[in-house]
Amino acid sequence: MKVFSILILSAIVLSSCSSSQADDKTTQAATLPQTAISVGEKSCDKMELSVNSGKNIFIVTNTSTTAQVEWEIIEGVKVVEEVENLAPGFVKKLKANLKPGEYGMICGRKSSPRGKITVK
Amino acid sequence: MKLSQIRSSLAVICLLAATMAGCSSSPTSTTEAPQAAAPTATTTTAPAEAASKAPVDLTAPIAAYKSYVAQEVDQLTIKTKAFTDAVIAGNLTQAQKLYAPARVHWERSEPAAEAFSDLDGTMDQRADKFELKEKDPKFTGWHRLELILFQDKTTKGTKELATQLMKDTLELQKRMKTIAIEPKTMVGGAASLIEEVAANKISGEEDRYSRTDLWDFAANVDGSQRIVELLRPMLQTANPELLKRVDSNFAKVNTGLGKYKTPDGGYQAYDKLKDPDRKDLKAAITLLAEDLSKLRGTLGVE
Repeated sequence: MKVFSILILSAIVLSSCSSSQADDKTTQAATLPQTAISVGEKSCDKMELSVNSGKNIFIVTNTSTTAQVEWEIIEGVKVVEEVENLAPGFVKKLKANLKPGEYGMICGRKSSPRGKITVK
Repeated sequence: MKLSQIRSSLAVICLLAATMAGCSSSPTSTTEAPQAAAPTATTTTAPAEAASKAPVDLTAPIAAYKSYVAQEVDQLTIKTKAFTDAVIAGNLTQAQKLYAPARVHWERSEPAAEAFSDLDGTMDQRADKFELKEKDPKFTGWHRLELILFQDKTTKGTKELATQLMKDTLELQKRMKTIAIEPKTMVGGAASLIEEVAANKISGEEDRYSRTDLWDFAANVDGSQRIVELLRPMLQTANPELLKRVDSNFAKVNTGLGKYKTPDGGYQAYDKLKDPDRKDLKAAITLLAEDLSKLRGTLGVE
């Protein structure tokens, strides 16, 4: 009985979480695949990423001590998702729903060498 | 109910409250500061706000927003033509005068207009985004011209930059006609415009040579408020308290900015902004950024 009521409450907690973070009621934010990426002034710690298609969470950290940085996922010239003006030392969580394909990755500055994201 | 059961139920309720509070303050994305600088820590949110509604039909507001953006980009094109013509003709006073009024249209439509990484990169980057800062040959567009016109106070060496800016603007106008505006661009745009104010405008970083930051500040607020207006019926249904707070903070920001309006419809130089006013504006902007970041969750926008 006790266990059962806790389970129900847990379910309520989880579903309320997922409906505010993810919008799809069937998806729980906690179970989305997370990819951590460190962005410096001119490059990312990983310049090639590979993720599965669908919803992903990217945890973007600015490791520069002085510069605001950008992190973008681009398709051709179109920005698919972006973290803009991330202040030094700050961390931002970005949720992206990605279709399979090859994407460019902007690390640090728009003029920096591009990285690559493969979405399977 | 036995005491142990009550205890564990209470623990679960606490957990529930804590989890919901955590969720409600981070709807789609959160920025965490290493210190206690994050605005998320300052407000508490009613648990009711954590629950997002089923996706709302946004077809009509998106169509209206697309036409708003198209109008702004058309105005941008007309005013950029006048601005770049003045630059190319070597008319410094006229070029300086036309700089801020043209940018207003870019800043209002920015969520959609900056969707193209190449154009955003050549048109609207600030010097510190480049390795060699102000000396970097890749530093072009509005802010490079701003540097030359307002700091060096000349039109010398600007012809190529002005020509490129006009070319980019025409390309933007062309692309805007074909681009589909996604719900997240519009709904998320209300917050991203205000976050941009918080990041670059309130500090006076945006237009550091011309000191026309308040023009851009006001234009970002206009663009964000327009999105909220177009979504008002849906927000009224989904979360009237949130909408009420957003309205009240927009009103505070507009009152604050209103003190610095000039008779020609523009704004005084950023240096004129008094510290208490800057503080009030910053407080309202921070609350707005926090509340507007909940719009996507509130309307169930992926």
